[in-house]
Amino acid sequence: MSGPAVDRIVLAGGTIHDPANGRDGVVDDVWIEGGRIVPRPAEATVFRRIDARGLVVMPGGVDLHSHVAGPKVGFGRRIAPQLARRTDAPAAVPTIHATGAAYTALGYTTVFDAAIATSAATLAHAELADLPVLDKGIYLLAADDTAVLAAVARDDARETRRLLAEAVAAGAGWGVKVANPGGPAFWRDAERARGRGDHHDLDSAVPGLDVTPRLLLERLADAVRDLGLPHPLHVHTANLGLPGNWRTLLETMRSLDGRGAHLAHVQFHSYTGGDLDEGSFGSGVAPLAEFFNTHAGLTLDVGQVLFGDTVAMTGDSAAAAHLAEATGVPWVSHDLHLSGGCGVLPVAYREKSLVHAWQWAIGLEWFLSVDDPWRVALSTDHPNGAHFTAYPHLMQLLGDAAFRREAFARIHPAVRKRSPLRSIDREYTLQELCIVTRAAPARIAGLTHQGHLGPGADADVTLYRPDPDLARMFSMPARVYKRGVLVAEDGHLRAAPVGATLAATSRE
Amino acid sequence: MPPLLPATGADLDHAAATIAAARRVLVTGLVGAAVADAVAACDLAEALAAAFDPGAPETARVTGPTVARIGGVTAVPAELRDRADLVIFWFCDPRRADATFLDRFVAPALPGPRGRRTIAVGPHDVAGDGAAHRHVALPGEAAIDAARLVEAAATGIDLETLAADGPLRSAADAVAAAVAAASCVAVVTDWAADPTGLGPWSTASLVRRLAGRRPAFEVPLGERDDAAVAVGTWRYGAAGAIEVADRAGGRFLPAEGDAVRLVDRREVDCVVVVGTPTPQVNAALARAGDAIAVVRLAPPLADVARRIAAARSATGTVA
Repeated sequence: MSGPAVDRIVLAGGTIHDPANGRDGVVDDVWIEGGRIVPRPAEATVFRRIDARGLVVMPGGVDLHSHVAGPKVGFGRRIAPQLARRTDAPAAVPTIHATGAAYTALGYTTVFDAAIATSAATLAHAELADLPVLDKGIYLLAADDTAVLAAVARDDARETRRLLAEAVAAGAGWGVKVANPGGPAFWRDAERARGRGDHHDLDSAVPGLDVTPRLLLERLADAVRDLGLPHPLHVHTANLGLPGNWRTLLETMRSLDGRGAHLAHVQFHSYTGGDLDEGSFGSGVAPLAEFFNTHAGLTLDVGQVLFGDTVAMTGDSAAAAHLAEATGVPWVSHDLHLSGGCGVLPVAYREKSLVHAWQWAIGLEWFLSVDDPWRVALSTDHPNGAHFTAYPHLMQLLGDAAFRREAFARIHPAVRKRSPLRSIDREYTLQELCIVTRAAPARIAGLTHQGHLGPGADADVTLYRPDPDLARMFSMPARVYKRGVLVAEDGHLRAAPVGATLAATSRE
Repeated sequence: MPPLLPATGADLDHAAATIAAARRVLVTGLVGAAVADAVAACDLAEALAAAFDPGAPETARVTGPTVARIGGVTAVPAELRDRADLVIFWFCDPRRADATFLDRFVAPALPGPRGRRTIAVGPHDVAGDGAAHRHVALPGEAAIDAARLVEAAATGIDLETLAADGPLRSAADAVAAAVAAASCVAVVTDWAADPTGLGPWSTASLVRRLAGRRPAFEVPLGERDDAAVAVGTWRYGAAGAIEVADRAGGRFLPAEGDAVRLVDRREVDCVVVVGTPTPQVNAALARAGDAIAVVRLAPPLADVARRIAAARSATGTVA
């Protein structure tokens, strides 16, 4: 029986970028029926034709690592009123409706919140139910739960899997995240920590547990793999933001090599230098990228910093405390020492700041040093490095070397002198930009119906007007379709259907 | 105060008619509401283009202006039970809100060899003096000055340089000494009735200062509107005082749009109370007398909200 004509459309004659199906700028049609991509039908006349000639056609964007819901985001909305009601830019932490509207207008159709405490999952899902258009999933901070840590410390793989599976089921999670493995225990252990307590290597015993952060990472990654979750362990490793932490990330990669893991916001973990030594602070990307490029089981998102005012929020409260101590700004840590509590504080990234300029350059160096774009997801760790609406600007920095050089010329002179970015001329192609913004994040997340335009995929499609100004091109798609429904047109929200909740099932 | 209306019944038609006839509606009374009811209350407020404020004054919340200006470090009582070897009852008696608080959260032994000490600062003794407990008696109005002095003492500032009377200085020294000997400090507060916001501000500042040296956190007690605050924040970007509930552009007017001010200024002529109003809102409604119609709705709200919204829509008076 035929469905209503409106359910059948063909986007005709667009220039298709669909990396998962090997199409790179191919002029072709996209056939949509019942919200799904279908093969070219025998009976084409019942499909409503939409002229896509001259437009670039890509799958809807997938944000693999963002912060859009949950208690920490609520605090983020309240802690900086001046950033919530500014008129020259979107709210640093928008309301949930504005978040969905802005993502949609940008051509994104799927988003993952990367840090939800298991105990806050119900609240987060209630909030995400108000998110228009986008499909959404959450990574649970289940690896921080006391019982899980105890099971991991006992090397009780069966119990670890059972507890993680229970958390994923109860919290309707898509993945499991570990934020600063063992960090909360170091932080709250006053006697050993002698201060804020975040400074430890991967081989120090976690206070109160017969285990090290390295073993935590390894056993958790094994457990997530053995559970058959679609996304591997999502790893925010230790010592975020601290000088010299590139070694921690390298050791993390060595530990997880062969196990499968996704490394979150690596920019924040790639610094050389010693404590407060501005002269030695710099980029540790080169040895990290060399290792990463030769170990195919690992994937990453960058957490790019872009200049401006924002709000930082992290499941790693120790890192938030450290940053707040260093900058003297207001900060919040709700449920301070509970497993999975989050730290929140306002941050201002400045071009002329040595550290911020390094962060900016290190993120771009990561993007441009990874050989295989299929293992990279574009992110700013919204809102930590920058607002997600700055993605088009980031895409121009990656795809336009001249634009990047102009921006590079404005940053702190010491960074201009020392950063390897100065000699990198690589430019991302449109196809590579398509990979890092939708195809790769979808594949890394383990999504089978998003991130591509092959038959059976959800009809999440974004149509852009080609423009040498990539920021302009990607900031305002001509049309955005969510499951075949026109949801945005030239920056305006046209419909606000409720997206799906992406909840994984484990083998347990 | 009219009786709570159940989710069904003829009275609801009368309530719907009252709301439909209103010029401007306020939705409030969400202290203690569940998330689902807070969501339904927001849906109702949006359908009516009503003002929205959960009820507790914004200033009384640790999550209000205090967060924006100085931040906050809070935890739930279970953290106190599991971690704190020093518990400070700061000008409050937790037994007033929960008679079993001490048994549930303070009496259980800490894991490991550490013992737990308690100090009650203020007019309430709380636990009775004993080897592990001390009462530092101060009058209730000294709370903010005491927080300032303890913060100074914990920072190493010579209290002689501060203008403070003898009892306050002694109290601050005693608390600071106990803090210095502790490895994890929980400060129990109850600012739910604070009308100015200075109370939560003073303890948030104190706890932040302590937390810079050792694990320390505040355990706020009292009537809470956490669920409504969470929902209001994700819908409108702020905890309350929303001039017109509109998820595509709710305006936050903290100095003008909270429930008490709207009622006192007669800027609304109908108040929909979901659950129980706060004492402040109750008092404002009493002052308003018959000038403002009050409709009290009992959760669960989802069906009620739809029915009232439909009734208002049928009158053609939707804003």
